[in-house]
Amino acid sequence: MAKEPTPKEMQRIDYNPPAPGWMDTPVNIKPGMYCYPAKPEKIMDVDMPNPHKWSVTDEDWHLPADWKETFLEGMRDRLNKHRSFKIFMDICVRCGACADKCHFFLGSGDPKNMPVVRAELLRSVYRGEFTKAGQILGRLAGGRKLTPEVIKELWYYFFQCTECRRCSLFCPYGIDTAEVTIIGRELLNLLGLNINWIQEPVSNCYRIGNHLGLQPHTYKGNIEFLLDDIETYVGIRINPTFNRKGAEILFATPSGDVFAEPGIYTLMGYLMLFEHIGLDYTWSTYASETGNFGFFTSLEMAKRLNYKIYAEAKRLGVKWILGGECGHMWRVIHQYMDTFNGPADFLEEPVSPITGTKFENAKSTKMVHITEFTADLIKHGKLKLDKSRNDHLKVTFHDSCNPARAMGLLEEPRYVIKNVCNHFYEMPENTIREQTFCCGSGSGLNASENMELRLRGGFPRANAVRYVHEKHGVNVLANVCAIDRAALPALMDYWVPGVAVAGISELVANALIMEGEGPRTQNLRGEDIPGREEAGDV
Amino acid sequence: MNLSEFIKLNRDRILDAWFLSIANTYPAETVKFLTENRDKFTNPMGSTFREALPAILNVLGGPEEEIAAASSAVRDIVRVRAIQNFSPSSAVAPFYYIKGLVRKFVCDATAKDPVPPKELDAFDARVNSLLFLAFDIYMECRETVWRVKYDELMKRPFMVREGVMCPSYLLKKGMSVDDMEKIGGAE
Ligand code: SF4
Ligand code: SF4
Repeated sequence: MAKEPTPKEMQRIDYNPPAPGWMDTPVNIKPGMYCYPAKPEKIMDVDMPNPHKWSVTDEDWHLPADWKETFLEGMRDRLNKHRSFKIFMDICVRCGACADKCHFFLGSGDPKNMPVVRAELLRSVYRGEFTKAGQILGRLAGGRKLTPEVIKELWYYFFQCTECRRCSLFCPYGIDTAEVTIIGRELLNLLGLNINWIQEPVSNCYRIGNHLGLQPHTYKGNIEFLLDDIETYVGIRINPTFNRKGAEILFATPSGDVFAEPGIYTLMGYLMLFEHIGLDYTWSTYASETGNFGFFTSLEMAKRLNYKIYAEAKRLGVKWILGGECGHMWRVIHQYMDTFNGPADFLEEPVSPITGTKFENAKSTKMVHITEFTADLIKHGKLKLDKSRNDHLKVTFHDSCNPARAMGLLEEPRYVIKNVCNHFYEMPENTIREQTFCCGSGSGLNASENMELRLRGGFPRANAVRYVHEKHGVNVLANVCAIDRAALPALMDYWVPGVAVAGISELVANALIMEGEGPRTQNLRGEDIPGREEAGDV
Repeated sequence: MNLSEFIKLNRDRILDAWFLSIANTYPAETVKFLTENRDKFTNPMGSTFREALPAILNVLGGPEEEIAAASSAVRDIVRVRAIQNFSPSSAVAPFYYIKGLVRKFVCDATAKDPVPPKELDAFDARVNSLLFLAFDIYMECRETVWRVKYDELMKRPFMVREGVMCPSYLLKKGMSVDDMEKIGGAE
């Protein structure tokens, strides 16, 4: 929470309140801006309420008969349960400091994407239905009644927020609009109004273990494909284990790394790194997803999905968990896991078996971020690296919202990149680290049907990438998040053609000197490394 | 006075008015922000428009055949508006506004040394060419959106069958869709 602002700070705040007229602007739902509704059977899979068929463009969304009571009752529950929610509903002074901080506002120019207005959409219902002043004075006190039209507006705009928390950084009162969105989406879920891009992964993850519903043999089969590729490009055969009881460490990562470009190259990077240091670890075909789309549905669903990783760690009897490059997963682990399912006292406080470093920050959750782990290996000189293999790359780093703002993972990725690449360039200061601009596709909004929304939301990020692309010739946008790897290629394609997207572990592996390796004339993507085609590695 | 001299003399005023006319295509609350924040990175839309307009105005002052020289600046503006809530005509309308703006400035100026009407007609013709260029670029952007969507779908395994590697990767490995079907299939 931010401390109370001093009068001087208050003076600095640009008085830019939302025009009072926003309530008069009817919601105008546009194709390209929303994701398709959740399929009823996917809602039933996880016993969530009110599964029903509906279409966004229909007049009637077929809300359940008691929709109003359900929503308001749900709101009352949450006002009592979450002190933060109650405070966020009560204390906003509409100073406007957050108004121009949202990437969706910056890319769309739509005032309802100003964080203050986004929260106001629900706050007005709170005032109109729960406070005396609002009940009596209505609009004069900024209140309004809940109607089916209001439900549509809430739905449209809460699924135009990536829960990135950039806005909260600038609020003098510490109001976190992402949390308002989280509760807003929970309430919409009470009416069966999720989007399928979130609901289906939730169902798959709950029933099978990962977003796509990859069965154990397919999961393993896909990794074997990538092992073949490593053999081709690197010249060594790696034989990792799956579901091995008694391994020291369980490695868990987003399933996006297992099946889709460019995440698969990041996964090849993990495989090579662990082989290089001789790590005693296992993959699990059950804890085969660390992404948690439950978090974009309801806190209860987030808890259920989070539990699976820990249940698997317990079953396998490992000492601790090493987690791959993921974004929101780390917010869940770092800020929610302990309350959801902790303490994980059946695991040990993580210690790197290679360097002896104790990861005290993971004392309670027992889960360590791969980038911290790798940075520690490099710091202790445990990796043999030839960074000149990455000399054709000019790299910049995109701080993913959650690792940056929710867990403060700011230095480690930069440290790792600088140790495996000779050419690294930062984007402008007001677009990185805590102030990073979201990819525009987080919080389960990385579908394709909402491409216009994603391209708008991603514009501020892309604009900064374009700057370093033009100034320094940057051609790689590195990151530590699976949604980034899935979403940023589209963004670059539209806004800054010529910039590839890569996970950091891919860059590490390309520089790793593996024992018994071949000439290394190609990188993990099977592309010739400039200057090495003929001569071979030297 | 000839028109290009007039434009040179009134350059800043014309550019400001042109920028404002674009900003005004957004809701009132947004106009204030677009106009006031001059930071390239925290106001990407405003700064993109502001940076592109001078280059376009320069080209408009030159011969009609060379309008294509404005392509990259026009693209910077259109790329933003092509994915926003505008109809195709409103997305490219700002390039039309400059016609009226320049005429208004010319008419308002003291008539001591008037710009010959012939020059204004020639200017209008160049603006027309600019509009055609903008429309071509608009279409190019929209087609890019669709291509980007398509490329993304090709990274989704369920394009082929549930539970297989992404098709873009398999195609790269020289596999046909039939081969993919064979190796795919979780059930
Ligand atoms: S959390 Fe992010 S996406 Fe949501 S309103 Fe704030 S800045 Fe916008
Ligand atoms: S949420 Fe905070 S920053 Fe935004 S208007 Fe309210 S008090 Fe100001």
